[in-house]
Amino acid sequence: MRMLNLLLFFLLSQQPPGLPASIDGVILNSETKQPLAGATLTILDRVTSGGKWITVTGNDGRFSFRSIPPGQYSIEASRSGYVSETTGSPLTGPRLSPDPLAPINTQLVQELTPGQVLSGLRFVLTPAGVISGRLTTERGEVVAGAIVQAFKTTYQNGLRERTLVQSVVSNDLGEYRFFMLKAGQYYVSLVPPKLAIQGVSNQSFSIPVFYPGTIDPLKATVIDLRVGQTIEGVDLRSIPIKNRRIAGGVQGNGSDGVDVLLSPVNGTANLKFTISKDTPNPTFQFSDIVQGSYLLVARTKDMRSVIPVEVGNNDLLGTRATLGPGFRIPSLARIEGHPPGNDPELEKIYLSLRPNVAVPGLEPELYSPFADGGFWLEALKGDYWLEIARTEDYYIKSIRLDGMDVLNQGLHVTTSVEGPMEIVIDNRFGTVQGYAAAPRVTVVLVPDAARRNQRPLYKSGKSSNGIFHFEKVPPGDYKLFAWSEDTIDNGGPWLDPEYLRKYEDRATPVRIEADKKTVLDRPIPAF
Amino acid sequence: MNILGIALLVFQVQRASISGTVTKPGSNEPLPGATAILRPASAESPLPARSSQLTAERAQFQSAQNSRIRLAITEDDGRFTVGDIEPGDYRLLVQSPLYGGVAYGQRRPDGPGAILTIKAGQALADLKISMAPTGTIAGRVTGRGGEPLAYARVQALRFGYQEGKLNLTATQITTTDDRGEYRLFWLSSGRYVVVASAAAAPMIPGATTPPIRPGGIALTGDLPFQGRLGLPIILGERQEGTSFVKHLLDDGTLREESWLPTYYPATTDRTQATPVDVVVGSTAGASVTGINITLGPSPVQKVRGRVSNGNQVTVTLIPAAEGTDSRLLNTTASVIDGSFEFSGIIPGPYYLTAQNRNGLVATPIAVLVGDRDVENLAIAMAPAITLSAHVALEGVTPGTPDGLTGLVGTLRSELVAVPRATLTQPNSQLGLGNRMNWTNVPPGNYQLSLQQPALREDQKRFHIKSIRLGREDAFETIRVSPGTTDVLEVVLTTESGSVEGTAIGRAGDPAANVTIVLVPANARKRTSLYSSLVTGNDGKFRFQEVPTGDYKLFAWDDVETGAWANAEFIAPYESRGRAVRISGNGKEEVQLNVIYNR
Repeated sequence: MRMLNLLLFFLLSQQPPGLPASIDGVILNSETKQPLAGATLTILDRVTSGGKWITVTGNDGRFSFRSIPPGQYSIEASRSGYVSETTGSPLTGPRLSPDPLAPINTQLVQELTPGQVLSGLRFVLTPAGVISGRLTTERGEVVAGAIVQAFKTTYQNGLRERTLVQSVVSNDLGEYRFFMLKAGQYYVSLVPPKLAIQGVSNQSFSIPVFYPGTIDPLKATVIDLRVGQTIEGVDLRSIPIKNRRIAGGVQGNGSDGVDVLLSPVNGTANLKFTISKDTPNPTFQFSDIVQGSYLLVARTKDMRSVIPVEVGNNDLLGTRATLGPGFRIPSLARIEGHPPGNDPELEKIYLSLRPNVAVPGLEPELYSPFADGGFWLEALKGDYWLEIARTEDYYIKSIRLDGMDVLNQGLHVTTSVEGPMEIVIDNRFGTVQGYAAAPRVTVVLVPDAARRNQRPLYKSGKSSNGIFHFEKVPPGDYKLFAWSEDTIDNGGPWLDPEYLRKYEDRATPVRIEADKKTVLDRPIPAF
Repeated sequence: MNILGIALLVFQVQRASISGTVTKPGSNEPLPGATAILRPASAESPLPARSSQLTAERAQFQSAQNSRIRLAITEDDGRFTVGDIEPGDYRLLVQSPLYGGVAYGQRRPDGPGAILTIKAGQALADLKISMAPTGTIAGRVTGRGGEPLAYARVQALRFGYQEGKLNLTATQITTTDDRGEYRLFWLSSGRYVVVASAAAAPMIPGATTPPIRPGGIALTGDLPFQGRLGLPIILGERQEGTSFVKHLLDDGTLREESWLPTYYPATTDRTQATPVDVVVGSTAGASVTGINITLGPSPVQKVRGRVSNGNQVTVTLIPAAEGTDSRLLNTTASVIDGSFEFSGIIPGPYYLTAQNRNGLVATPIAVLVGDRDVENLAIAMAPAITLSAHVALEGVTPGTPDGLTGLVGTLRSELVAVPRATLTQPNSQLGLGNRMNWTNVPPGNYQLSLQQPALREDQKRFHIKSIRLGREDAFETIRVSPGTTDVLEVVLTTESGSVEGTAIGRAGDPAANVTIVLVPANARKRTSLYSSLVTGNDGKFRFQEVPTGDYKLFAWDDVETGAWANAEFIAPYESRGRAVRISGNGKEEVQLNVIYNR
């Protein structure tokens, strides 16, 4: 069947009745560079929705359309078993954006006059890969009709994430098959089917099992798929569910409704259990829990509790979640250079308290100081980062609590303290500009080793011509990295130290000073 | 021991239990890990006869019934014991994530199952339940050049009864893989029509829908399962204008084609499809392989015409064959010359309707699209008809409180085989002077149904006693023509009766677990007059709050749900039904012989 593949928009002249236009070109296999026979080229009239024109390539991989009425069309090349990878058109290079850091427009636009012959279009299709296998239960029974998912590693806000690439259903023989896969590293997981019984409040839930047989995605085996490769025998076996239960009570909710969440550590499945309002000290129960590590989160609109839970060979029936506002830390903020006393600018500033380990269901708390700079932080026991939020006009220069460097070392909450925690905010920035050794790059400014935990210090931007220009950079030492557009994930992998390590040595050091413009006179290398 | 303790002990002594063994489909192998569910029989049909319970009352009833549900998981030897049972009527269901669900004593897959009457302190033992074996249809979908087609949608269609009409519904839907291969599974015995349609690669990962499990059981994370009628058939990705492809032929002519749904082995005409029989034995599943389908583009047509009068007329093309893509196509007629055109139209029967905002409508035209364009359709717009009804409650003096407030009347067009949500169904709420008005009614045949608002405890249900339009009896069909000016006279009554009795089996003994159907003697088109139930252990049945009138009672050992509303189905059984007259507040008692088909 047709695969939605290459999408290339261009304009034919809008002046009917003009001479009809014609198009010709070739479709190639990306690996062999040879012409691809039997590929379909579809052009779709985008304005009048007047249907599609299609043609199929012959042995020479060539296609041509004659006598196409003027109009605006989108072009698409496809072939069963192939995915799109790149597009090449001799007519148009990448369109250069006037703003070097604005995203490059990936839609190629070309205006044609009536009667124009659009010749020599080149489409490149890449052979797709397959991963297949069979599902069985721990007793060897076939698992039919179950959902199997293929994930890839991506980055979101600098955190490694699993992104769902495909989801398929096993057949009556327990077989599943992912196809039309691009080359890359995959994880495969089975979502074991679990009954939902009508009329019975059923708190059991389905925890994905990762190939070759673990609920911990970190222990999952990566399947490295090369271009056009078929990998068979990726068989999955469900994990025996020992029917462990976690039950207990929540204290301190007053008459507020409570959400109780059970989340496997590193897992994808969250079980949410909502307890109705007007029930002081409610109870909860989760059944059919697979052995492993979990976080039990209880929360009302104001209060919360997070308890690590280890499920082994026994039921955990007396789990007690005591809700509380957490520990209180008196804090005092000021802006460098502003006179002492009430400062209305402070009321416009937001500070975010980000937990070091993200807990599902708990968003970072936002704080805003009063005009006198004072405010109370409230946090459960744990490690946090305090960051500036919602503005690029200020940065945090220092945070000190009892002689500790909270800005770079983090906030370790173990008990209430007398404080105050002193926060100094500044707005005196520097700028840096330069160019990369290659066009179409993502340029990233990374703070020096001591400040790598400060997320707001990282700056990134895309450049189509290689020129970059960062403004509002807090003073200090940095390193500049440039990655080619085709190789870099947009979700901020540079926030991952492991990722950065591979490129560290080749990065370009740069010092930024307040109210100064730094200009690099040599190109920075592109990776 | 305190008094409460003694009371609890006494209470527990009266509790009953049941036990049994569950085996895998088609074998004596025990099935561990299956869930046996004992569910109160009345939980499935909340409170007899009175369907419009107040919400809170219904919720209370439901939660009381839910609290009587009992579960047990089968052990490694397939055995289960359900204890702590209050005496009463129950159904026993067994569900397994691997093999779906079955009901104890069910006569057919998805059948309701037998009612178990459990007495205080009873210990019902050794129930044997085997999961239902199922069948598979497998094959390959290829293009005309033999190339495998991926992402083709393949559906197993089966005939079933809907409002008395025999329609195809999809029982399972799947998609082909990159080799063009598909497997439709969890099918019960029967005759299937297999249809494949081309579809684009899904844009959203995770769009693959899991098949329906035997017994229609749900899994956690599933969307609620909508009834047991099967899935709507999806034929083609109809997006106006993009569903067809153009080929410029060498002679300069333009050919338009579309990838039409293709029935096994390679026909776009459903009546020419080769059916596929799946015969699932009581002990073994069935697998029918090699059901290969060839797909390719076929010519599609244009439908063109002109609207002779009216501004901004919206012309609508409605697929008329049952079981086809039910989406409607709309186009706006040209303001210059009234012309309109639909492109990419798949051959088949359609209706053409038109209307505009100024209250003009057209009488629907039947259009049969064949192997060429349909040209020169002429649509004449006429002022839309406003149909009015006057509703009266029998025995109530006009002007005195009659409790009819909030009544809603719906006109349902008989145009298409099965009413679809996409077709307009004019609604009207009862207004001043007990009048209802439906504006913009296109000419055609309709049936009037009334929805009563939630009943209070002291209220009775209304039933339609008669509907007249002028001098015509409109109880079954209201004929609306361009000249209609009469007012519908609707007479309601609160009068109802009941009928009860016993089903008598072959040996002259009471027949348990048989289907009793109450069929109106006349007015067979009014589906609201039918009712059905399944007898309990004692073979007894009872219909309550039945609108008065003449009926026939039938008892079937095994019958497909809804078949009784189909004229062809019921014709051979007419003589075996038993005529009953339900009169106001009267009570009929009958003995009914069961019809056996096997």
